[in-house]
Amino acid sequence: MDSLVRKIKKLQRITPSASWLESQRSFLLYEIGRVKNQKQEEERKTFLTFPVFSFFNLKRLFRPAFAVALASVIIISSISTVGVISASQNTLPGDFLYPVKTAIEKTQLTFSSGTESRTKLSVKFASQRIDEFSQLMDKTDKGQNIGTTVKKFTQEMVTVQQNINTLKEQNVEKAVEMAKLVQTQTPVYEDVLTKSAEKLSYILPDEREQLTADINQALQEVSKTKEITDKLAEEQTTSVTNDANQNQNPGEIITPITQDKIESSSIPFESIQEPASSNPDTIQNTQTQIEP
Amino acid sequence: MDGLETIDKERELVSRVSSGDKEAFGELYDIYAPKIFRFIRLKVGSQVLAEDLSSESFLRIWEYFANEQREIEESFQALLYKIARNLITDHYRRKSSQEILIDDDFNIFLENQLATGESFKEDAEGVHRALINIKEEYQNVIIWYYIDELPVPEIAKMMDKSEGAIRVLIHRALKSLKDTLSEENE
Repeated sequence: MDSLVRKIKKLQRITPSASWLESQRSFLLYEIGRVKNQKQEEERKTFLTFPVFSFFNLKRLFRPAFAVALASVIIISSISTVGVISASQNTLPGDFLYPVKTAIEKTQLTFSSGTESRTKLSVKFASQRIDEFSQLMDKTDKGQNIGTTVKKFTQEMVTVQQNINTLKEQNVEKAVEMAKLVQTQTPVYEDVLTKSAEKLSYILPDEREQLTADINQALQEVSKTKEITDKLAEEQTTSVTNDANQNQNPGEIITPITQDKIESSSIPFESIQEPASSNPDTIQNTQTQIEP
Repeated sequence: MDGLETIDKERELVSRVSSGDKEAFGELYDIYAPKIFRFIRLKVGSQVLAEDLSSESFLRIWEYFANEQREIEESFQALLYKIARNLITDHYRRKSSQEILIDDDFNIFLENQLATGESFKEDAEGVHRALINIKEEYQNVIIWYYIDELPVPEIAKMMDKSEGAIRVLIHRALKSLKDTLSEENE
């Protein structure tokens, strides 16, 4: 019997592969998150269709008790608006308060005056989209929003390019200043987009191909933005060097402003946040393409 | 799972899962996924099927804990094995014996997954062949007692029998396995 028990115990060595265990873990957590969100959405819809919410009946509105209740609701809503706006700032696509965040962005754009502030805003929004994208890649339950977020980021990149070109025609100095600002962000965008490719196969295996195409499109737009900003910065460098050459004393050595100096210049733009997962130190300045 | 500390940890994780905590579910997955995969792999012929049923077991238990908000009387492990057993039974009910034979790739699994000596493969394959030919009840106690090394009281709870009955069952299961192996070797 002992030898049989020893043979049986050999079957203890049967284990699943580590890669299967890990991919299944991601899949399960993604799947249960998706089902959970679906249920919450259904509950929300049921709540909104509850009879209390179909009260827009004018006769009821004029009842004194109802009018007092409605006034209280309006007052409470006004007071809580500040809290809602503040809470919405940390939301991600798919969250209940996310539409509040995007509505605030649209309002900011509407009330912004001048191309310079619109450019700043578009860079800020692009950074927010990439930050959201980076966070979504770590939250398997929100995988379905990744594609939309990448596309929104690509749109923001195109807007940044358009705004810088417009600003260049209006005020070259301001355009250069904006170009320097964008130069600090583009490596971060590239880094986040490129690193995300590694996670795609187990987060959304079915949509991997489409998402890879979306990410490549985004990378292309980042690359175009880089070309525009680099060209602007280079033009300024040449112009500064030429000015200096014209004013220099014969024999004096002119040191041209290098790319390093441009990138290390301090740009006050505190409202742009770097995605937590990005590491600008490891960034290469070449255009990156992800193989589907 | 043995020791009060581990049991307390499992209770805490289960309580978190009941309130919808995905991370706690992930931790329970890390503890039980290898065991449940092995349990299913030893009972079904196909690697792919074993993987599918293991996944399905975890999805079902999540639904049971998180969505139904039930009072849990069984341990997580006992419930997980019960779900896996039901899934295996359902699968075999749907399939003909011919399909089951075609499915069998256990020897390929041993070759690919376990880079071990010939004697190991022979022993493992022989015991597995005999195991799938004995009564289901016997298969379960052999896997739980000798392979998963679960204590008798835990198996007794899982099978809803007394500890004495489980000891007798283990003895009979081992004898049945030995007889089947001898028949195959003749």
